Amino acid sequence: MSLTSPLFFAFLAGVILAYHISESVPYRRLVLGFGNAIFIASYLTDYIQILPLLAFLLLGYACVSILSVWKSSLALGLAVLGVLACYVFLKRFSFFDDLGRLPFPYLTIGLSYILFRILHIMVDVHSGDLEERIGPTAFFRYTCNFLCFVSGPIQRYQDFRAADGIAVVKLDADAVFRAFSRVVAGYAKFVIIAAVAEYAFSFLKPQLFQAGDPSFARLCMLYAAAASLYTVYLYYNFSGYMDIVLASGVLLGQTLPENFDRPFSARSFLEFWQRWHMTLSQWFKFYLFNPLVMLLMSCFPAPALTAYLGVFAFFVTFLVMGVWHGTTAVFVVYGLLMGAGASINKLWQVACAERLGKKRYRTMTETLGYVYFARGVTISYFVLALTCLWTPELSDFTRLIGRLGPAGMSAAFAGIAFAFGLFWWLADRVAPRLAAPAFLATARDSLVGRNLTLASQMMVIVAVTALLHKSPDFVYKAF
Amino acid sequence: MDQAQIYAKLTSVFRDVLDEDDLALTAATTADDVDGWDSLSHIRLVLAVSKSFGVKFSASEIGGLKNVGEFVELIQKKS
Amino acid sequence: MRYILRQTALTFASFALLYVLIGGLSYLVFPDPSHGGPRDFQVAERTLFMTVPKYVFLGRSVLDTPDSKVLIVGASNTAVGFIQKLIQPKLACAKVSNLAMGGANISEVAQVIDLVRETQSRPSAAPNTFVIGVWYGMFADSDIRFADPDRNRGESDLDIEKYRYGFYRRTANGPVAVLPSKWLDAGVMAIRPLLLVEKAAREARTGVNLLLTGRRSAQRTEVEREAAVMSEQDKKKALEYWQESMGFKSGISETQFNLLSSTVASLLDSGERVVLVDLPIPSWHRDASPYQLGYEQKLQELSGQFKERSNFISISMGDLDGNLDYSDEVHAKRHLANIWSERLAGILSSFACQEKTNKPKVSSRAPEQATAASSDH
Repeated sequence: MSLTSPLFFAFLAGVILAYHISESVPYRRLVLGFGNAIFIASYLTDYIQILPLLAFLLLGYACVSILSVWKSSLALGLAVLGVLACYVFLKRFSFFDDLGRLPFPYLTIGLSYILFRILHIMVDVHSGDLEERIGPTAFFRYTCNFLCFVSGPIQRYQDFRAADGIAVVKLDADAVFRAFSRVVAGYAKFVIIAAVAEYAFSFLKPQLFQAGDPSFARLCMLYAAAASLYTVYLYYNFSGYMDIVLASGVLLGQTLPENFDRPFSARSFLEFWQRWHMTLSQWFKFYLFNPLVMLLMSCFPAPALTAYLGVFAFFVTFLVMGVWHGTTAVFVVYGLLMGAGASINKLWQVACAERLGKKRYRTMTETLGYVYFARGVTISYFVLALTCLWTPELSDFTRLIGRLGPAGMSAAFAGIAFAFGLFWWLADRVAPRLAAPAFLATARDSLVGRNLTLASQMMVIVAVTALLHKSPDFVYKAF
Repeated sequence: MDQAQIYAKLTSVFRDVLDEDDLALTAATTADDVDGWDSLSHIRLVLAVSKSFGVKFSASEIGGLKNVGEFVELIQKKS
Repeated sequence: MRYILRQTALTFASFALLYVLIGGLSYLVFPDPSHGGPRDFQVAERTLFMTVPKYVFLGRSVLDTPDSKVLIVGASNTAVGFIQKLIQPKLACAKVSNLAMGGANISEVAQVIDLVRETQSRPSAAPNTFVIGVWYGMFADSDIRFADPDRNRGESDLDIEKYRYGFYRRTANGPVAVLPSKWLDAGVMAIRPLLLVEKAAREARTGVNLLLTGRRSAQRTEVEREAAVMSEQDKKKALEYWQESMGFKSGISETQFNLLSSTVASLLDSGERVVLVDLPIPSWHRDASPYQLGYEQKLQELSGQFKERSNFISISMGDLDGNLDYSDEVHAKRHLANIWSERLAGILSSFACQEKTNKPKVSSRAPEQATAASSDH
């Protein structure tokens, strides 16, 4: 069921209500388990569509069970390979079309995130980090938690277990109000900002591909505007979704991990990924980057090489993370761009530190001009790289890039960097001065005031939903 | 090994790896407080610590370390 | 649990309070117009309903009266060409409404007709006179005509209004009513707060436009339209535009034509009167378009098919094709619209205003009502 549908609201209300009827842990686990099952079932039109997902879960559970008794590296290697192969087959990566496919349509939503959870359990069980035996129902509740099913956040099993049917969040009037208001804020991001940005984007995008001979300046502006709008759309759509998920989690006693931490305030590409889709990048750090660096360092122990091994490891990690986003060739380009961004970023840090010395480099990064320059460049790079996500066909992508040419790309890059840098400069200057007068703030924070504020946000959401002709959809479920 | 000993040994490992001679560690010290303690030198630190204390760390332990205090606790638990 | 229930109650109560408040406000700002019979739907912008499709869909219950009615349907050239204010005074016997919608194809016209007839529940009501304005541009299939990125492909503006507030639901076979037609006014009352908020959003946008560009919208004003002259470049662009919008290289959609034919037939069978107007376009456009010839032939066939029926007439105003009388490739300037309206009023007064439909003699070209000749002949 779509998160914006009234059906989802009714479902969520039902689960929350049922969950709080009793404090018995087995009962609550039962409620959550049924909730997950109903949620997944809502995507099905035929029982056969669930079979591949079930098989994938069973394979994962079998691997975990075997690893919990046979903790050999060989077993882990085989299990990882087996699960990955199954995933690649089910996800129908276009490169592996020759492998054949199942002869019926089936559910693939949530598969990527289930993969991350299963791999994490397998590795941790093998290394002894997860000593306890995971029961099949706990495994199901963890891998298929309906709140995180479609698009994360990717919670660690250790954190999940601590809250599984046990209310770890103590609810009081304020906590509940905060949760409600975060859900509403999430919908506002999702339905108002993201949908309006998408609306504007969907008008600009066709113009980029239209026949005819637009002027160079117009083309660059059009491209920069479309790419920026897509980024705004992606961020508000995804982070709004996360607000809804995390706040709903609070009402079910769960503390799910945050996925965004003001990513557009990042001053470097590497910092950006510490703030954007955080649980994904953390997963990759834990289970790909760290082991890879460790392996490289054991092979090449000279400290002077550290930075260069890092450049390489960043490249590989971001390449894999990029490729994971989609199943077509453009996503390899996306992966390469992500990898290049990360490694150029690291090389720049190394070069500056060597040339200026650590202290002077640090002083430089604190200067005002550098901060806004760095923010602008970081965002601009990401905005342009995201082009891959909105031109999933390689032919469209190359046509667009060809049309713009190196000059057009550079102009768009500089333009976006300048615009975002300027935006932040202005925002940092204006925002601190925008404080509501004390009496207004008091009125707003009073019981009546805050509930009316919430209600007016809801009113605007309903009105905007009615204004848009198509109901907004969650963009990240495709990845 | 008691905590004081671990801190002493750990400090020397940190100084060695990060090339900072006047580095002092407390339980609350995090990567943000120490110049040069980034995700790369973190792995180098982990490798050096494993070697000098004779312990092994798992992927989630390496990723989950938030401050020096947790590092020390982990070493104490393992050795 | 206690806190959750309490907060839920608070949230609902606040929302309900706000909703009722805004609903009340909407009656202050836009008092409910009386149900005094048909009205001009082209003034939608000045009402709470904002657009013609919304006004027709949500405000159509005013058409449910026993008096005789003239209902003008078609696309934007019908909307600007037949001015209700001019036609109504000349027709004592019937109330005139113009329900034409910008961008309409025949499917959407048929939808409008269906909606109106479904609204009119009274069996005793006098027959309607449907004036259907057509030109070749309306014979494009919905999948081609309604394909902008912000709508589900093939859904007309009217469909969008049907789904927008949940009065209809989307099915594989098109919209299916959720709210029975007789409950329409109650439904509209329930969504008035939303309409007011939307209206406010639109007014705000107009304000921003006014601030940024000095004008209310990108649409040209009547004065600007009156002064417009098309350049050769404009004409070329216009022809290209219609090439892209029709879905066929030449020739018009067979499906749309059959739909027009069956719509007219069913209206006539149920005793309604139909005036089919072949709307003129400027002569340069008529002569250059690859669609016009096929369209004319088919329309003649269709008129021939119904010409014996006493409740059907067809008119053509092909003489009104002066290039300078049009503000673009289809829309009549105001001075020409006055002439269109007068001609239509003249024909209607003899056709729609008789007790029994004795078919008047109407020539297909230049009837005597054409008093003022257009300027550039």
